[in-house]
Amino acid sequence: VRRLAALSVTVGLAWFIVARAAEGRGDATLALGVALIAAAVAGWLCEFIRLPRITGYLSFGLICGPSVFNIITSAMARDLQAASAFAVVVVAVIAGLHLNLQRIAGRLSSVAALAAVTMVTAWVMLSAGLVVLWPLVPVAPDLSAAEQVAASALTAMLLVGASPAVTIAVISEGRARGPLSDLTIEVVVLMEIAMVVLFAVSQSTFGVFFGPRMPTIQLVSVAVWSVAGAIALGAGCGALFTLYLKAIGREITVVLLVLCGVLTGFAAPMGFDPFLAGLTAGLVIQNVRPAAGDILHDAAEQGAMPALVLFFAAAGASMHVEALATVGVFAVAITALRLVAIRTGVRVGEWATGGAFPEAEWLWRGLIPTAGATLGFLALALSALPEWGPQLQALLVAVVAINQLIGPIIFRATLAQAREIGRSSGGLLVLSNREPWVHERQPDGSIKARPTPGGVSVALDALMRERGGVWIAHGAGPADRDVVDENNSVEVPPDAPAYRLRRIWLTPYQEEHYYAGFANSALWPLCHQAHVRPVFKEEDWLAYQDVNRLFAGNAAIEAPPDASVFLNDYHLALAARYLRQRRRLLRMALFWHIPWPDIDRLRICPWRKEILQGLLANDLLAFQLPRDQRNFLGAVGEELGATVSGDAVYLGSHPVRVVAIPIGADFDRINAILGDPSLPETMESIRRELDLEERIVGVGVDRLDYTKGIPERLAAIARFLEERPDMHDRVVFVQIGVASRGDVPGYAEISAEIDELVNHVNRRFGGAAGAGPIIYVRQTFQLPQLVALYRLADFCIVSSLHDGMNLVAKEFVAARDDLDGVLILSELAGASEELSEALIINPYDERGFAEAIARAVEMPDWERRRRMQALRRRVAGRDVLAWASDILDRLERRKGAGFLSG
Amino acid sequence: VTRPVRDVRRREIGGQDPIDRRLGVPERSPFTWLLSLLRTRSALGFAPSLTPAVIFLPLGALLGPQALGVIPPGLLRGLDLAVTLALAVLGVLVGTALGREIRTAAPLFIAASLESLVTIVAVAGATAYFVTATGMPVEASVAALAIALGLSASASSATSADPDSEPAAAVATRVADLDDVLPIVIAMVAFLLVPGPQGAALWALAAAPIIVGLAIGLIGWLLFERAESGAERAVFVLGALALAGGAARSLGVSPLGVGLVAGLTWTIAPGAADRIVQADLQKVQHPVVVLLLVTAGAMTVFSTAAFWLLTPYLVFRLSGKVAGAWLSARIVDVGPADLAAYLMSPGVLAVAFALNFRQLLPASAGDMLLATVAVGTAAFELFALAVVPHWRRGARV
Repeated sequence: VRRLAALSVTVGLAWFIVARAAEGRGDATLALGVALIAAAVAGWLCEFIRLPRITGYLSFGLICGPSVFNIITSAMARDLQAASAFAVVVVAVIAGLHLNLQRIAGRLSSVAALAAVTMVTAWVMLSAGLVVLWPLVPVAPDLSAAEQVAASALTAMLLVGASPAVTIAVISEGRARGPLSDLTIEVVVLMEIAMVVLFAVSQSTFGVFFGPRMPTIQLVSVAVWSVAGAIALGAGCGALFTLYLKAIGREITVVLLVLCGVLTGFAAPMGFDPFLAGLTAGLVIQNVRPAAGDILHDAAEQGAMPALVLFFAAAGASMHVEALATVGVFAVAITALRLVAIRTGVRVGEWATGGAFPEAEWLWRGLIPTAGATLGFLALALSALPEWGPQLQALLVAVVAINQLIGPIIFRATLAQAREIGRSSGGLLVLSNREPWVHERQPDGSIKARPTPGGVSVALDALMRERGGVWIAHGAGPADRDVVDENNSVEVPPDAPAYRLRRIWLTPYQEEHYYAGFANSALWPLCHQAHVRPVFKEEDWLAYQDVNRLFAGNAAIEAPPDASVFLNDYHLALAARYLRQRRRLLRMALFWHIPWPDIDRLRICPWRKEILQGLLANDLLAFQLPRDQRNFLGAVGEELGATVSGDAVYLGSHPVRVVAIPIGADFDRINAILGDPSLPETMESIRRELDLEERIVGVGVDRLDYTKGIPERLAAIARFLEERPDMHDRVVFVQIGVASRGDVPGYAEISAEIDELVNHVNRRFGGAAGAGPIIYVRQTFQLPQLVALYRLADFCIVSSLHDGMNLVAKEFVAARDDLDGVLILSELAGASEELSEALIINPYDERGFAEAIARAVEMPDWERRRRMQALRRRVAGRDVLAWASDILDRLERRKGAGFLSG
Repeated sequence: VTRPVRDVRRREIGGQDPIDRRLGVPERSPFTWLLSLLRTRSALGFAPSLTPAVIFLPLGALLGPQALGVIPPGLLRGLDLAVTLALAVLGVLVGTALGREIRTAAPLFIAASLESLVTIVAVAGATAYFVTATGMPVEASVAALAIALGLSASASSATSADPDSEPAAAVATRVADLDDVLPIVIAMVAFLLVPGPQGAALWALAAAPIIVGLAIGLIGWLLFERAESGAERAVFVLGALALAGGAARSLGVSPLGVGLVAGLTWTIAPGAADRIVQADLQKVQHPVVVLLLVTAGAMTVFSTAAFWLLTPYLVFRLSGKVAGAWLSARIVDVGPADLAAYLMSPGVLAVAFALNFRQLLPASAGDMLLATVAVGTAAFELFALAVVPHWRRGARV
């Protein structure tokens, strides 16, 4: 709404000013302002409806331009075009900075062959098609057959080129990386150079047919002058800039702008191709000083958005769509012919280069936008051949308009389809304390890899399999060291390696002070309000910093220049800050799984400011619940004085997006287990083993942690049994307890307390120990066994005293595709925010808790079904893979990749 | 402990260049002396650094069509458009400073306004008297030229002062920030005199900077905080500033005034629009200042008339600043001599006022105005380096 309001005010203001300005003539600066704001908002609107932003920029220019509403008048559009020339040079310099000759030297000849064959084939096809169409087209009908062939060939030459500026702009705007992006840039640049030369040659050749308006030698010299002059100007400016970088190296932004200004100001008036000049300058800088070139490329690309918005808005404003009314049908036909010709050309090129580029299959879609030089050459051709008249101009302008409108849409969609949009060149980097695969030695001496259980591991593992990259984690498996290479890395999954797991080794001291110490004796109790006092020790804090530095150091070695980095959980609160110090351009997101405390509780922590600063080094920070998000935003405002605006935090000028993205259960995997024919057998086995036949079964699955509310649960069960003697023999409660963090003080105590309570309840309501209503199983269940247990249960209890989310609740729901079973859920668990159809309890309210158990036991079938149906709708709609993808999408802004990509 | 010499021009030229920061310190080379001249040390030896006006105004004059001709007249006409945008940027900077200070430091604002008013009256009065008395041929109205010179003279930047060196410097810095507000407001009214608006359009022209500034303030407030990325935010900020400059130019009103109102709106409106703008402007402030000064230098056409006007300009600006400081020092509790010395440096805003009026005045009058102000500004900047009190190289902390 705010953006739409801003768009309305901007357009209204511009309209008001243009209407009142002297002679109705707005100013170029006004056009610039309107174009930037309104086109950017229009681009956002397009993304909202899943179209590329570039289409929004173009559409804005078109709608507000002289062809339609005339808010940007013809004079303003002309001025905007002049500013757009600057944008073209900026885009060209970015493209040049992208091209490292050393990197592309090996493939240059193949790319040149591909470009040449594509261009020649497309030109021949287009010429042939135009010869056939010529008698129907309302242009120079009186030409002889030979003249028609020549005219068709010349027109085909005008249309065969692709636009490097548009192509590179689409790639830059989408932050695309990958083989298709690289190949398209290389091919369109070579085609641009070829087009300048070939146009002059063809025009002079065809002068034979139409009478020599300009001597051949002069035309050739014009072409040579345009290309060689542009290269010389660009090389000279690039060399001077490189010298400046080396000798003075200050105020680079100003000098870079001056460089672009000089290229813009001098190239066109001197007859040089501005794009080529900019490209050469960038190429020289990149290849003489590659380190500085990379930094300049990143900086220029980051700052290129205004140039791109301007370029496309200006292109839209200069489109003469009115021509479509008169020659629309022919323009569409020629556009279709051009697409077929280019596609065929690429096919032939692929064949000619022996399939050297698998990505060339999609290349033709990057060649759809017509060359920027087309209209310029058209004007040149018309000056030489005036009798072709305005009809040809109208026709080609219409063809260019169609191609410019559809080209960016199709190319961006193709990049999305090729998964190159918003993608770093080296895939994804995940940092987590826990590793996704553990290597263990088998009794026969062999080493076997076992996946780590847990939804998060599974989800991130799935993402890594899809995208590739590196996962950095603490190597804690007994045989982990035996399988790594010299970089402490191993390819995983073992059956189909898709990514690399780089292991970090911690000393026993680090494990004690970083993991058991600061992470689990300080941060965990600080963030969970479970009446356990956090312990803050200097040595723990130092070890925590050291290990975070270690993770960051390894990530800095592994991360490609603009990789996306996913940091998992509270163990790595400082890693982003250390990593940012070494690698400024990385995109980083951290998911904080546990609750975030309110400001009063946070103040207990002596190093809260450092932790907050560490977290704010990320680009995206995700919590489970809006409440955690609010607490965090309040904390950064209070503690750091950071500016909080909506969900963005500004510490300095670096914006950090703080969001709530609740994690989901591994719904698909649980569904797969439910469909496994062995499930009934597993259920039967558990039923038999635990003696659950003919009994009302309750279940609780927890790590043995003081935050899980297990004593409160046992007390409520005892109260329920006390109030309902008729249930003593009918109800059995299976408590799965997974031993956890045995080396952390507090965990041994809670384990002992649970043991004692279980014995007490069983003694009181059962016979001998072990035969009572509580069946306590202290072992880890794999997911298939858990699903079987959930299916056997009539109710499941989650009674956390404080919990970020609690996946057991969601897994129980996911496992109940029979729509049976009741979930009793603590209102202090994050899951209760989503699963409101569960029986919500307060674990501290023993009486209410016991009543909820009674209600669950006696709940009629229809109510159980209705509640479970509603719960399943919520859980199914948001599984753990969607959660991980959502975080990365937000980090990389891959949303709105284009409707053609689905 | 001696802390390193701070870059005291930071207030005027903005933060460190973002690309410089990432590239790190350049290798030492035979050109290092040029770096030192441009950036860190004074070529004159008695101050830590030269202010931008001392470097870039002569540089622009050297590159301009009057000297080497590296900046041709055609490019200069193009740069005139960019100057409009730069003027809007300066207006926004003043507007945000006003919005920030007005809530807590009304006395400072009063003192700053008083000081600038005295200078305006002194210089404008002296100019009017001098031109009338000598019968100097001026194509524009004498009142317009006199007011334009007065407004240009009233600007102060205190950029030669290290705000941490002593309390007086800190106060003077804030007074210097705020003493540009009144001249901008007067300029908004003075613009009505220059193009000679007809009848009913007068009230519309008077209200236009406020209405347009408010509209742009609203646009910025709606957009800045909702930007999805730093790049998108930069587009919005740049667009809003271009809109301010372009709207002002199209309507024939002061871009400084439009920028001031927009900046004030962003500061007063709830949210963080003002801080966002300031953070982004930090990155472009230096290019803007360089652009303005180099363009002004290149546009400067030295003439006999300008030379004759220079004397009353220098004398009466000096008198006006001293008298103004004497009056306002009582309000802000600073020694009058110290305050006057700090306010000697005119800064880039003086040149901005001259460029702003040059766009509206007839060519010869505009050239005369710009030449007088440009030379006067450079002279006062050099003078300020010598008179700023108690400045120490590397203050003790």
